[in-house]
Amino acid sequence: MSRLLTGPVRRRTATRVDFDVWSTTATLVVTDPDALESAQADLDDELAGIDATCSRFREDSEINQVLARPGREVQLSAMLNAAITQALRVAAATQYLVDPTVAAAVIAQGYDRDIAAVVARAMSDGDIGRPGATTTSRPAPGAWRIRHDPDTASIFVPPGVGIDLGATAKALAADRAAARIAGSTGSGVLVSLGGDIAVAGGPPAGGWRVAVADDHREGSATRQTVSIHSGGLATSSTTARRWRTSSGWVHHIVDPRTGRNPDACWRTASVAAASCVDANAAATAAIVLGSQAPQWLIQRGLPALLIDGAGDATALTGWPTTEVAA
Amino acid sequence: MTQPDSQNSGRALRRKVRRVTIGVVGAAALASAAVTAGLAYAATQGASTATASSESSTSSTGSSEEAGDDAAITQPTQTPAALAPAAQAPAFGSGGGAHAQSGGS
Repeated sequence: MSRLLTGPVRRRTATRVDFDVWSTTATLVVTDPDALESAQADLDDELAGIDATCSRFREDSEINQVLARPGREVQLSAMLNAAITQALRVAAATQYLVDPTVAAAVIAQGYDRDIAAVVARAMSDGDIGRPGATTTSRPAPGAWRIRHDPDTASIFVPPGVGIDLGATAKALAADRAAARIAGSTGSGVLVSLGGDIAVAGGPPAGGWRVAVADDHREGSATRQTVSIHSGGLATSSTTARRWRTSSGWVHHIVDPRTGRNPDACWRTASVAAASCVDANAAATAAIVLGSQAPQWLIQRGLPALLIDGAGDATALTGWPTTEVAA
Repeated sequence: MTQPDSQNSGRALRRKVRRVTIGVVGAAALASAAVTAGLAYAATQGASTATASSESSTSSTGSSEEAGDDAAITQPTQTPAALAPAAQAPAFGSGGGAHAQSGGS
């Protein structure tokens, strides 16, 4: 993949490289220094593939080509088929709390281009999004309306139904890249895309250490450091990807049941799961569910750390409680 | 000449319908039991005080204006898939700096 998609390398060591992608930060760490170059090539290839198939910000992306043909059965590439499969699985598994058909509501809030451009526009205009969008938003149509056959890689999207893969595509890219790198190099690997983390292969002694924070960028205050040995860890936060509109501050997490930002309860939710996709879905669902999130996470056996608006922490289902900063 | 055959055919058809009905009712009962057991199992994975999920039985018709002709399609009431928990819960991380940071992006 060309480096055009990704920004300049921020840091590089024998086993690690950090760079910008999708207006966020990517981190690749391997346990075997000899694997780093090959691992970066694999990661770049996965990022390019996800971008070309799943991005709603590219007119030429495959998902936008699919959405341009509503009411017809359309064949999918292997990668978009995988991304749609995951998005619909996650939607069903979260009782449609994380639903790709939330696209129209997200756009109505002003998130109609890359987040860096959204924030820049808000800073220059001080007023983006449709006026009164938060009062006219409607529920998402519902992912159950989409007919998708993963075996034949075909999809039928009814007219009027949009698809936003933003809630799952980044995490899927992390999962796919980590598995591919571990398989091709034999090295243990950690892939972080904007704080959505997937690990694969043999972990380092003591596991992969992950600092948990409101913001994934280095330098922001961390809550605690935990270690994981497999699967994924992801964090959703209302403090990131937020901008001012004519109706006030909004952020990128939309409740599909209302088409609006969920009621403020948790500002940050971190979840560990068997994959980054599942961890990210659960973290987003927790923000949407608000006060019902603890019971929902406990019922599913998902370890989680929830931070409320006052900064108080709630650790669930085996998440370590030691050293949680106030 | 044809009357006995018709009676036989009618009886055979009724028996067949009865068997199919029993099969459908039985399958529904089994499915219901499986869902109940699944919810109970999920509840036992967390706190003992956790109760069965109410979300799994909710229904929504979504946005009819955006959905066009499919507006009447309602949200499925069953949960066909589940999010998979981690093989092991995170542990307190010690022994050096973090490999990565997880936070909002």
